Amino acid sequence: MNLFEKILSAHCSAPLPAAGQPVSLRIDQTLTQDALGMLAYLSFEQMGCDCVQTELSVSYLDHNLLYTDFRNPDDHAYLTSVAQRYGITVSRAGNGICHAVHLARFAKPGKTLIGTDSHTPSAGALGSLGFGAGGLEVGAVMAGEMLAIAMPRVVRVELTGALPKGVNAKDAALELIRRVGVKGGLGCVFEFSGEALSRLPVPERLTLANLSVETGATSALFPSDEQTERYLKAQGRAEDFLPLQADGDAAYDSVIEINLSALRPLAAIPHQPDRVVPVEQVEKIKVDQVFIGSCTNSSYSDLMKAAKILEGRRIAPHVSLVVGPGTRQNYLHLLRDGAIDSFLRAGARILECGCGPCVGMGQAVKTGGVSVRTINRNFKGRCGTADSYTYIASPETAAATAIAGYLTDAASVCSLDVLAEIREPERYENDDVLLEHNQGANPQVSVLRGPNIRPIPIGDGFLNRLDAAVVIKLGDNISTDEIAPSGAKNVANRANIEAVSQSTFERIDPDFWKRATALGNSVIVAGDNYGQGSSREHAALMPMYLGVKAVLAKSFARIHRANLINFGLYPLEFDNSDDYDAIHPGDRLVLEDLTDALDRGASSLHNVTQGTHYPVKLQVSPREKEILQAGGVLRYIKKRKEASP
Amino acid sequence: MPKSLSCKILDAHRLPRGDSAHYWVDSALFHDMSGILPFIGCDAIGLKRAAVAKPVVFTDHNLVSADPSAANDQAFVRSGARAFGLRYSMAGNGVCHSVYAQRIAAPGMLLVGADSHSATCGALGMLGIGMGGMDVGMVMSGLPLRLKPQKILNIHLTGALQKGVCPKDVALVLLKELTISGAVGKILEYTGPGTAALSVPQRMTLANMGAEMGATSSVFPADDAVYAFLKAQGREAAFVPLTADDDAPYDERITLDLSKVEPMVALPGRPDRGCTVRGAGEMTFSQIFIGSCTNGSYTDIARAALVLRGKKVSPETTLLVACSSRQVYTQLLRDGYIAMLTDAGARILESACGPCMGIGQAPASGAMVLRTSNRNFRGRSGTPDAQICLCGTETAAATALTGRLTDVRDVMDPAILDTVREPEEYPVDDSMLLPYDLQWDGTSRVAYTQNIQPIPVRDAIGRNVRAGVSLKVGDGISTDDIVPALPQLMTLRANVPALSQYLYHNLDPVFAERATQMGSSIIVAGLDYAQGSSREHAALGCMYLGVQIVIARSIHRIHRGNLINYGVLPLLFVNESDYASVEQGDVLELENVLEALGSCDTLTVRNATKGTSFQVRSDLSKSELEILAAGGLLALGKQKLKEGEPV
Repeated sequence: MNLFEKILSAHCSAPLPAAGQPVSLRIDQTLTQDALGMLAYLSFEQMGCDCVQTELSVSYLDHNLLYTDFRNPDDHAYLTSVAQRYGITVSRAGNGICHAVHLARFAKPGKTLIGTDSHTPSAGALGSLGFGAGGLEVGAVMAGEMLAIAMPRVVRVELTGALPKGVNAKDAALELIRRVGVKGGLGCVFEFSGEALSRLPVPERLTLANLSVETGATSALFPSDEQTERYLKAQGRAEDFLPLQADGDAAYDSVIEINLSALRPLAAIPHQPDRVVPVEQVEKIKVDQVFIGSCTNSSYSDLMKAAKILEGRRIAPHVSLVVGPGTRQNYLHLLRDGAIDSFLRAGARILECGCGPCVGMGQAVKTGGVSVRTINRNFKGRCGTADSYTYIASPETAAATAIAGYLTDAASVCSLDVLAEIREPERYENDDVLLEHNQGANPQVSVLRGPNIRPIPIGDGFLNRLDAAVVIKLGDNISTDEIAPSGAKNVANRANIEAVSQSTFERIDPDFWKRATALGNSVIVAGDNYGQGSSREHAALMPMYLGVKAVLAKSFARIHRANLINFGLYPLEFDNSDDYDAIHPGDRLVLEDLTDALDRGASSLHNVTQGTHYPVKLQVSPREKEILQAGGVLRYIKKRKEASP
Repeated sequence: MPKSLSCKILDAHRLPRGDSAHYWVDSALFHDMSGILPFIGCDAIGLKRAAVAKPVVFTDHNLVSADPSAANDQAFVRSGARAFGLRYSMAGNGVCHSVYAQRIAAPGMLLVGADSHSATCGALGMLGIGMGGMDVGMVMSGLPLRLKPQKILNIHLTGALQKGVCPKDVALVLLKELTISGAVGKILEYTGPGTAALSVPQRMTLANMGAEMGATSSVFPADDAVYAFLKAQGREAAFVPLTADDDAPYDERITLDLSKVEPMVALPGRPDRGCTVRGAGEMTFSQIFIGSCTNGSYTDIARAALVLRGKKVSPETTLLVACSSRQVYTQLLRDGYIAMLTDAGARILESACGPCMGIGQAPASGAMVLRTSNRNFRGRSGTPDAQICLCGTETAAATALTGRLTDVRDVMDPAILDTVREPEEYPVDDSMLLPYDLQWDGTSRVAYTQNIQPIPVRDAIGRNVRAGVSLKVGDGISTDDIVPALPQLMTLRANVPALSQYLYHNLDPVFAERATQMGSSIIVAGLDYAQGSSREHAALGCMYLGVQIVIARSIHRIHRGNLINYGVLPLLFVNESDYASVEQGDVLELENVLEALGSCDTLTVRNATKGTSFQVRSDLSKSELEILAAGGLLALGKQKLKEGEPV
C-alpha cells in the first residue's frame, strides 16, 4: 500500500473503494481558524453534544487580529468561551498561524485531521493526513461523525537532488504548481517521496504540502522518517513519533519527478499561482511592498535566511517591507538570534504573528500597487486591493527584492554564503503560554455571544409537500460569489445570518431578500453548473434563512449541491433542460410527495400557474436522503445523538 | 523684566511688523491622516516649497491598511512631501511625536502641528502647538501663526517620584485637578527641582497630556536632562540652554510634591476621572495596551518588561505592546526587553499609533480595557460600548500579571524598576526619515488619486452680494446633518467634489444640485448652527457648492472659524425673529459687505423677493476680516505667495 492508503485504511471500517467512489473515514483531530470557524462551532452547538468527540480539537485565533471594530473581538470572545465549554484547545491571538502552530505542537504521524481552512493539508509535512472542509462538516466531525469524501487518486511526487543555496522549498513547490496547474491536482493526493527527503527538514516539507493545495489537490503527504523524528524531538514531542512509509511496491496513479538540484529561484506572476517563471525572466518592475511570512513561508529558517540577506543592508526607500513571523515560537528564536534586529535595521516593519496580509487582513497595497509576497495565492484582489499585482516568491527572493526595489533573486544582491549554516533549532522554545488547554465538558461556562453573533437557523424541518413560488430565475454558471458575496461588510456578519442574508444575490438583484421574505416559501430556478466557485456554506444557508426550499437547476456544482442538502434544501434537476425556458419568476410550483421523490430519485413538478408538469430528478445517496428527511444535517446529527446518547 | 520660558520663545518668534499676535514658526508637523487636506490646499494655492525651515510628515496613524485607501493616502502625502520639500518618516519608523522629539526637536523652536499632541516636544524646551490641518498647511505656506494672547500656568514640581510611580501618574493627578478644560488658553510651564530630575522621555508624557487639560502647549526647561538626551541622540550641537528667568511672572501657579503621587488610573469616559489604583476598587480587563506617544518610550516599556520578567500574562487578558518608535524598539531588542515581554506572552504590535485611536485592536462589545494612551472618551477604542481606563506602564504591566487592576508595588519590589536608565547612546538611524533634499526636486506636484481630488481657491466675497437662499434649516443643525456619516463618505474625505454632492443629503437630497445650479447662494439657519464635531468638511463642502454667506440665529464656534477659513461669511440675525421672514428661494442683497463689517458691526440685508429688509451682524476680528477679504485662508495663502514674501 502507499502511505495514503495505509493511513486511510487505519481510519476506515470498510475496504477502500476505487477512485471517485465515496469513502467515510474517522477523523482524529480538527482545527478551525477564526474566519471560517464560526459556523463550525455555531453548528456544533446545535448537535446536542456535551463535549467534542475527537482526540483533539484546536481553535486558532490567527486570521483577523486587526480588530477594526467590535465584531472580530466579539468573535474571538465567542470562540474562546465555546472552546472552554466543550473541551476545545484554544491557540490565542498572538500565538501564530494555525498550520504552523499545529505542525509544531499537535500534528502527529498517521493521524487524520480536518480543518476549516483550505491549507489544512500542511500537516502532511509530519505524515498526518489533513483535509480542508466547510464549517458544518468540521462541526459534524467534532460531534463524532465520519468524514465522507470521494476516494482520491494518489500521485507520487519523486524528489531527487538537493536544493541549491538560495533556492527554497518554495521554488520546488512553485515548480510543482507550474507543471500541474491550478486544476491539475483535483481529486488527487500528492505523496512525496525520493532520496531528497533525507535532506528536507519538516518546515520545508510544510511549504510543499501547503502549496500542493494550489493545484486543487485533496491532500498531500510526506513519510514519517528521521527528519520527522528530529523535528518532533526538537519540539519536545519525541513520543509522538511513529515511522511511516509507503510499501516498496506501492502503486500510484501517476508519478511526477522533480530534481531539486536543477531548480532556480521562481516566481508566480499575477494573478494565478501557476503562472510560474524564473525570477530572472521577470521584467524589472518597481515594487511597492514586500511581505515575508504566512503559513507557507515563515519557518525559523525561512525568516533567518531573509534576515541574513538583509543584514547590514537597507531596503529601497520606495519599498515597504513587512515581516510576519508565523508563530510566537519562531519569533522568540528570531529575537534571540538577531534576525529581528537585522530586519528592523534594514527598515522592515514587524507585524504580529498571524496570517495578516496574506488574507487581505491589513497591508492592502495602494491602487495599482505591486507586492511581492512569500504567500500561497496571488488571485486578483486577495491582498485587499482590487487592482493590484501580487507576485509569489521565496523569502530569499523577497528579501533581495526589498533591497533592490524590483523583483530579483538573492544572488544578485549578496553572496549566497550568508545562507550557509542556517539550521532549524535543535530544541524549540515551547512554553505554550498562549495555548489554552480545555478538557471535557464544562457546562458552567457561559458562551459569550456579542450582538453580532446569532445561532445558526436550522430551518423548518422536513416537509413532504413542496408548494412555493419561483423567487428568481438565473442563467448558467452562477457562482457562490454571486449568491453570497464576500467583502468586508459581509465577512464581518458571517455569524449573523439574519443580517448577512440581506446580501443574498445583492449584485444581481438587491431586492431579492425582501421578495423572498415576503413570499415565505420559495424556489430558485437556475441553469447549468449552479453554485460553482468557493465552498462557502453561506450560499446555501442564506437562501435557506430567507425561505428558499429548493433549487431547480439544469445541473449543480458538486460542493454547493452538498451544502444545499446539508441545510435541508432540495437540489432538483430538470429531466428535460428545455423545461427551463417555460418557467417564469412568480410561477407557483408544487411537488406533492417528497418522500416518494427521495425514494424514486425522480418526481413530477406541477407548475400550478401555467398548468403544466415537469419531470425532475432528485438523485441522492442514502446518507443524503437521511439528511434531507431530517431537515438538514444539523437536525440529522441532533436526532442521531438523541437516539444514541 | 524677567520672563517665563514660554514668553521667551514666543517673543523670539514674534513678527517684526503686523499684528502682535502673529508669529513665524520653525517647523510644521503632519501625519498620514492630517496631512491630506492641507497638502491639497497647498497645491491649490500653488505652493512650490515649504516656507518653514523644518516641515515633516509622518506615516504613523493608519498603518493597518484594511483596504487600499490607507496605502493610497500614504502615497499621496509622500508625493506632497516631495512636492513641497518635507522630511518624510516612513511607515514603521514610529509615532510622529516620539520621532520628532528624538530626531528634530531642539530648544527654542516653535512648531505648529496638525495633531493635538504636538506639544509633546515641549519636553526639549520648545513650544509645539496643535492646530487644524489646513491652518498648519497655510502656516507652512508662509502665513503667520495667529495666536491669541496666552496665560502662562507654572507647574512647579518638588520632591521625587516614589518607587513604582511614573510621570503618567503625575499627569493624571494634574488632570484631575485641572479637569479637561482647566488649561484652555494656557501654556503649561514646568519648573522646580522635581522637574530637573525627570528625563526627556518622562517629560514627554507630561507635555503630551497637557492636551488633555486643554492647554495650548506645554514646555520644560532646556537643561542638563535635555543636553543628555540630545547627546545620546548624537545631536548635542542642537542644544541651547534655555530656562525661565528666576523671578519670572506667571499668570497662575500650581505646586505639586511628586513624592505624594500614587499610582493612578483614570476611570472610563474622561481622562480627568483619576483615582489611585489602590482606591479604585476591583476591576478586570480583557485587554491591556502599553504604548502610544504618551507612554511608548524606552524607559516606559523597559519598566513594564521588568514587571513581567520571568512571569506570565494572566490568561484572562491580552497584553499588547507597541514601541513608540523604531529606535526604541531596536534598543529594547538589544537589551533583551522585547524577549522578556514576548516570553511573558505579550503581543508586540508595530511601532505606530494603532490602538490608541481605534485603528485596530478594538475591544469586544462592552469590554473593559486598560491603556497607557492619553484619551478614554467613549468610542475612541473603536468599540462604542467598550470602556477604557488609563494608567502608566507599570500599572498596566502589573495588571497584566493578575488580570485585575493592580498597584505594581503589590506584585514586586519596585526598586528594581529604577535600574532602567535611558541609553547614553541611542541607535540612531535616519534611513526611514528621508531628508528634505532627497524629497524636494522642485518640479513634482502632489499625485492626486481617484479618491484624493484638488479643491478650488474661491474668489473673495464681492463688494455687493446678490444671491438666493439655497437652503433654510431650523435649530440645532449639527455637522453630522451637514456632512452625513454615510459609509460611502468615509472614503471621500479627500475628494471634496464628490463629498460635496452629499451635503445635507439626509435633510434635503437635492440641496447640492440646487446650490450648484444657483452658482452662488446663501444658507439661512436657526440656533446652534453646525454644532457637534469639528469636521471642516462641513464648511469646505459649502464653499465648494458656492455658498457665500451663512445667516443664522447662532453659529457654533468651531464651525464659524471653519467658515471664515474657507471664505464663507458667517452672519447673525440682529433680531432673531427676522429668521421667520426669510424663505428658501428668496433673493437677498447686501451692499459693501466687508467694508460695512470692518467699520461697524451691523449690515442691512434686503430681501428682494419679499421686499423687506433686516439687520445682521458679525463679530469678526481684524485677522478674520483679513482672511475673508482675501477669500479665505487658501486665498490669503495664495495672495502671500504671489507677493513673494513668505513670512
